[in-house]
Amino acid sequence: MIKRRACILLFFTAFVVSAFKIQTEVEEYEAKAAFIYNFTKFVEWEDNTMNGTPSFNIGVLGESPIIRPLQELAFNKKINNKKIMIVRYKTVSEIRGCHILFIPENTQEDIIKELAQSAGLKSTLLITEKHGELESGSAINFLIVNNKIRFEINMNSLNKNKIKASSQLLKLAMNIKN
Amino acid sequence: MGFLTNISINRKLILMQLTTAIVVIVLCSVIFVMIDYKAMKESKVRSISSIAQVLGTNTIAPILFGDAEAAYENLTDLNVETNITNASVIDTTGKVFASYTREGAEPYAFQYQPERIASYKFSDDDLLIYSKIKNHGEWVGTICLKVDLSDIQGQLYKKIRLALGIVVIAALLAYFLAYFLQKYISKPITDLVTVMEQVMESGNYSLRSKFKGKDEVAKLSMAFNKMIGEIQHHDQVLSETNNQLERRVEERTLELREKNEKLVAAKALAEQSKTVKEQFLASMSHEIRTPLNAILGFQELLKETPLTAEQKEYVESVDFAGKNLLVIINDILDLSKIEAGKFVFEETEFNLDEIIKSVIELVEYRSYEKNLSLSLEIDAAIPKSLMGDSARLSQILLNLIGNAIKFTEKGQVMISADLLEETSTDVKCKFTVRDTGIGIPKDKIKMIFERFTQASSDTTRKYGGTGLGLTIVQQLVELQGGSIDVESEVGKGSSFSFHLRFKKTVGGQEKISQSDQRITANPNVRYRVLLAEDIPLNQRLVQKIMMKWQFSLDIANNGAEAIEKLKKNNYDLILMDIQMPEIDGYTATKIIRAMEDPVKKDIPIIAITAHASNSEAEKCINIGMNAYISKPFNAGNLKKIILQLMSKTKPESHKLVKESAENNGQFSLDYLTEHADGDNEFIIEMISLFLKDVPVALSRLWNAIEAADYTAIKTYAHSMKGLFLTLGISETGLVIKAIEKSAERKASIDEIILKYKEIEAMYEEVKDPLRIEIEKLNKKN
Repeated sequence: MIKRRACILLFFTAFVVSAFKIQTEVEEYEAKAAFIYNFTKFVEWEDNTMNGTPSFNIGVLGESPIIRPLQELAFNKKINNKKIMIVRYKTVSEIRGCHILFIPENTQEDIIKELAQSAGLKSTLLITEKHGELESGSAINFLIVNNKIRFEINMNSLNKNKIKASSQLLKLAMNIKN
Repeated sequence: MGFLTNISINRKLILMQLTTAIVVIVLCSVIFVMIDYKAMKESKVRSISSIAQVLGTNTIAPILFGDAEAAYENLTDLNVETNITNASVIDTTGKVFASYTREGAEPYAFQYQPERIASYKFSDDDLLIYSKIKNHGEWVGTICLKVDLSDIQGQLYKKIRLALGIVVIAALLAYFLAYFLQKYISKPITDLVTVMEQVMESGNYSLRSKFKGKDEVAKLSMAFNKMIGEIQHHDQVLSETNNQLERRVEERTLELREKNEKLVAAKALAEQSKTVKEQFLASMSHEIRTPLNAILGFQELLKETPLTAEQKEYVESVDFAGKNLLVIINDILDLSKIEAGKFVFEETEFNLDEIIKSVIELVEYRSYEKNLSLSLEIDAAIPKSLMGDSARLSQILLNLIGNAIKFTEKGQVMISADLLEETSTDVKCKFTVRDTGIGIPKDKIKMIFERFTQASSDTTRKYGGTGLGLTIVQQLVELQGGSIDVESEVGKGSSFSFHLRFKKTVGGQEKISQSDQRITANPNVRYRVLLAEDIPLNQRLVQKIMMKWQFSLDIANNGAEAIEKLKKNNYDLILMDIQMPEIDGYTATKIIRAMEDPVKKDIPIIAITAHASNSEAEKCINIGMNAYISKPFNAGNLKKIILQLMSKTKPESHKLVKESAENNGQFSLDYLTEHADGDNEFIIEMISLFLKDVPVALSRLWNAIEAADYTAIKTYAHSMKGLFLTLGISETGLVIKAIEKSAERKASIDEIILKYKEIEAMYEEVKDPLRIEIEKLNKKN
């Protein structure tokens, strides 16, 4: 019973990211998963096909420690009243119909460029976690500053994919690239 | 509240209105200020809440992304809101996410418990506002603001000041309004009161109160005017009735006066007839007494002449009947006076001893005749000097003693006076007359006090009397508030006792004893007497008596002749008849008292009258006579009066004094002389016996006193008493009696010694005069 109540509480409260410094890799990816969830609240997809899907799809390319916290999130939460689906892709060609695509650190830089050009990634929010990825065409890139998770935004990438970010989100971004 | 009832009505009205106005204004002000203050607070809450909401929305993203700096930056935007001193963002776990404090303000630690605390809270000077931050229905955190309320408090004070100002202005306004408006109510009332006061002060019921309108005060004025009108009307009616009443009273008074006058006239008539009756009684007694006097006088003279036994018996019968007649007349007169209520009891100072002794002297000769012993005992405790009617006391005693002697053939008559009660003002005495006579049967005791009743019909025949004596005695005793008692046994004797109350004399000063004075007059002096009397019968009677006493007598046939004789000759005394032709006794006395010769003008005058009333006696004394004797008089009484009077007059007027006794007044040889019957040897013998026995008796008494032997004291004192009494030293007799009584109750020896010294002193005093007396008597022989 206690467990269940805790679950409900978790469901209704925001996925607030700890303001304290992260120590471990697990902490780091839990925080990043939370960030991803929170981004959905300040971002709007203008493409109607994306809004018409029965589920909210979050794709992860290759292997990453983020998968576990993301699956937990999908189990506990809904986004825009839609079930969250975590989709794992091995190759770029597999990628289709994702609202958000997370590209882990170990992925090649070229692949990101390729992805940016791909028509299959039209209206997908591309999130990376490597310094300089923003240049390759990623929309949001995670940074770790003073052991704290921060992010930077590429407005071009957002506009190209017909995604609108709220001013509040922009305010919090470390860098904004036009 | 007492204050309120005492102030005038216009002040009351002003006060009332002022109070009402102030209360209302203050109440309104307070309510408005309170409502205003509440509205201010509410608007403050609203405005700050909207700020919190905006701020909260802006802080969603920083919270969600854990960006505290961004959150703080948002909070610093509150700089523009100068009232907000502190702000904090608290996350869902209760941790402070970001905190802001205005410059110069104190830091504040918000403590937010979402379930318990209201979204805003007023503390002393601050307002705390908690606003939940929600993102798409999800609770993200809470924004907390602390607001300084000094600005709205400042506004509150401003408004209170304003309200106070309004109150003051309104009160002033209310006062002026009340001051002007109250006149409409109070003025008519004060006017009415003024009129009322005028009416009360002046009693002028024609005054009226002026009024206007139809309000209650006007009605009051109207009612007052009506009431005053009624009173005026009633007043008039009343005064008319009063006048009528007065007239009627006058009429009645007049009637009453007339009736009164009639009554007075009737009373005068009644009194006149009463006087006529009294005059009739008085003159009748005079008319009867004058011839009776002659009868008794000549009968007495007749007795002295040689008579046969038969003649003597007749003469004695005449004597008996005559005296009886005299008693009847006197008694009837007394009784008629008592019944007329005319008996007035005098209150003069008298000596009880003397009164009793003088009564005894009057009857003594009768007891000698019958060979009865007559004893007297007077309680020494009775004050010598008392106030009361001595004449009536004498009369009562005379009657009782006279009866006792009359009804006793042999044995004795004992008279005693005892003290029953003594208070500070008066004494109650009991007088007892006891005899060994024939006694009264039990069933007759009550009867004897009834008038004209005696114990038996035989009594009158044998003893004479009217049966009035005891009636009079009883009346006299009861009229003085006393009572009379009789104890009697047939054949053994009777005892009459009565109680009387006398006042004590105020000063306690004893009157100079009359008996002492009497002793100073020598019975052996040959006085020159002038008799003024028109009736030859009475002239002869007096002549005989005077001859017997060896007095020289001159006779005047009327008042004028008496005055002439007095002018020519010297007399010691005048016997003056009251009713005489030409100049009567009264006029003659007046002329004599007005004479120039100082000796003759003061000559003692004794009135002889047939009128036996008190008023007559008083008249005699008032006119200037010295004494009074009523016809028929007893020769002994007359002599006593003469001796009393002569002892008072100056010695140089006694021209024919045979010898002068150097008696200083302590003793009297009367008793001895009387008993000696001319036997001087007997007197000498008695005096010698006294001089010899007294010293012996005194020394025996002294020894007894020293031995404190009370029985012996009593016996010796008693045996001494006779010695002194024989020589008439009654004073010492009383002292001895007092010693006896003291010894009886075993009083202190000192007291007895004091009395003993008195006796001794008396003996020393009389010793020498008595020796001189013996020498004188020897010379006579």
